Amino acid sequence: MPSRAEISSRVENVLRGLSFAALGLLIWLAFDRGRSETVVTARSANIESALADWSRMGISPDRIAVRLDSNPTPRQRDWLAALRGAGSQVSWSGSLSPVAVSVHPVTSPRGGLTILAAASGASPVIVSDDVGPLDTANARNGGASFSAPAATGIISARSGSTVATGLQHSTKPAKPLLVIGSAGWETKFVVTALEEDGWKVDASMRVAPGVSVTQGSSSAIDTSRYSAVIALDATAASRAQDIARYVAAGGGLVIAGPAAISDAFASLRASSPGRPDAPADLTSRAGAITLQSLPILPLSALRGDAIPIERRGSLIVSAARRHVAGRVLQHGYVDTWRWRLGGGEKSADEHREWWTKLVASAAMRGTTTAEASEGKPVDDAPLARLVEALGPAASGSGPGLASRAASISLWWLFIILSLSLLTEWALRRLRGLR
Amino acid sequence: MVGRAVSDFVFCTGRYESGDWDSAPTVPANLIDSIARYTEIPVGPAGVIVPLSSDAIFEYPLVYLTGHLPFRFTEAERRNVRRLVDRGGMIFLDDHNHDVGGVFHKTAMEEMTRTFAAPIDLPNTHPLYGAFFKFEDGPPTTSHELNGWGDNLVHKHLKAVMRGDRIAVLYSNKDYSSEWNYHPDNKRFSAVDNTRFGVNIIVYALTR
Repeated sequence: MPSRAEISSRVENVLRGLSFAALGLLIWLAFDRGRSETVVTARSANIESALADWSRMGISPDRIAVRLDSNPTPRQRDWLAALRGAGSQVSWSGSLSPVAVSVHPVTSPRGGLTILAAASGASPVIVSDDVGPLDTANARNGGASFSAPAATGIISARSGSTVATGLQHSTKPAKPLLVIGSAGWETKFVVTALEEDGWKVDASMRVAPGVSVTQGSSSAIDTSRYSAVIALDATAASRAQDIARYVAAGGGLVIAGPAAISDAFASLRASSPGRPDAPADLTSRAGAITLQSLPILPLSALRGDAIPIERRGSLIVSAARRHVAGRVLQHGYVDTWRWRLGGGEKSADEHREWWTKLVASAAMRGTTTAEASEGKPVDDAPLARLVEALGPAASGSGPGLASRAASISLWWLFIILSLSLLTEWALRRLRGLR
Repeated sequence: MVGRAVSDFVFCTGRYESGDWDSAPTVPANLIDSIARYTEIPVGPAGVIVPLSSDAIFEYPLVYLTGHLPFRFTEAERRNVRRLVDRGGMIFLDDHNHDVGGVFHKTAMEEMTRTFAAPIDLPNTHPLYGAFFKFEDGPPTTSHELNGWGDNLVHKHLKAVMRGDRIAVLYSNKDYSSEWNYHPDNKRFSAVDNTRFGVNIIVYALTR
């Protein structure tokens, strides 16, 4: 059995070894880091003053950990990114709502805005301008679309605590439209609806072989002349080559089912129309006709590059595709004029708005210019830009906590070293004591 | 209709409760024949007669009305024709009496003013007169104006209620209802088809 002196000697050796190990580790850390690590933290509430303090430190902190409960302003985000650029390891944590907003001018003489907001479905999206709220909707499938006739200043979309802001864009006035069809109610009422909306409409309506009623000038179809061409039936086939050239150059084309039947539009259409489909009680519904009760020529087999826009049950009613630089929108509704005349109280307005939307989605966008924000910060996708600037949020064991853990371990090493040296010294001093 | 790419034009005679709405029964067949003869507008082989008070009237954006007797809309008829015109439809109303002193003219003018607005003289240079055939001098004169029937006048202008620059209601004292009221087969006996102006009215309604 070892004596008490032998035990004491062994403990001294262990403590000496521990001291050397701790000392060696500390020396290694000192050589490795060159200096002691500076770790700083802040929260959303004090980030502004913290950023100022960190920037006055002379040497930027080694690690910056920010706990966020709301999105930082673009200025704060840029400041953090600048500190990162100056050598600090910046990490952030917090559960922020992803929101983004995009504002597009409607290509229409009446103007207006389409506001697209991306958000999670957790809370409603509130869209506002400088004057006040414009609309509210629940985000479905990751977003919501809003239409506004006009807005003042900066557009914002709020979901939860996150606010995204976007600028409006001014656009050059839309060019005229060209409507091509046979003399009939559909052509007449499409022209009427578009004119009511403020479009200048040129039209070519075939009446007899070699005889067309023309409105305006419908000679050359080119992008300097027209925002979009609307081909309503097979009479447009005689100009299919001109139309294809126009679309390839960036023009917009709306092609109705009766026109898409023609093989002259094979290179442009999204699909060749299938068998006609009509609600059985169509004829008895005069006075209550809706878009949904109209007969359709469904788009049977879409081309690979076409995107379905609207469905009726399992049938595709409209689809869009790009053709070189232009857009093609094909719809399958037959005789939309019946809806205008034979619908409810507001059917004429609804018919006009439907055609306006259809044409606006295909028409050439003029040059747009972002309106000035008048010094106000604009942040169209705050969370995405935060991730872009600083990387994704740190998880529970991420850099923020790791940096704290690293700073704590230095103290533990020092404490272990001190205690082991003190104990070893004490044991040596007490060695001869009986 | 669904099986066709473009629906047919169907000639519609409006039936109203007052007066004799069916005083020119062969006008529709005659004009349908002319449309088929001169144009390639797909046209229904037979016209329809639709009560103005029925919602079915909204299937027919051009409505032909005529008669000799006092002319009044009921409230339901007035509401429907007003809505039809507001939505872009057109009414062609012809005085079968050819008489500006007659009851049809007086009551029809009152009714048009009450329902829409006071009709104005349509300039003889209006696009209606060049919509298909060219009528340099305005509305073609009818044999009934020349032979001294009715008011014994040759009316230089048609009248119209306008919506913007579009004719919403076309009103005639020229008695086209008598002029065109014969079997289409008898056109072969005419040197010039007198229904050609009817083609202009239909083409105008379909294109403006």
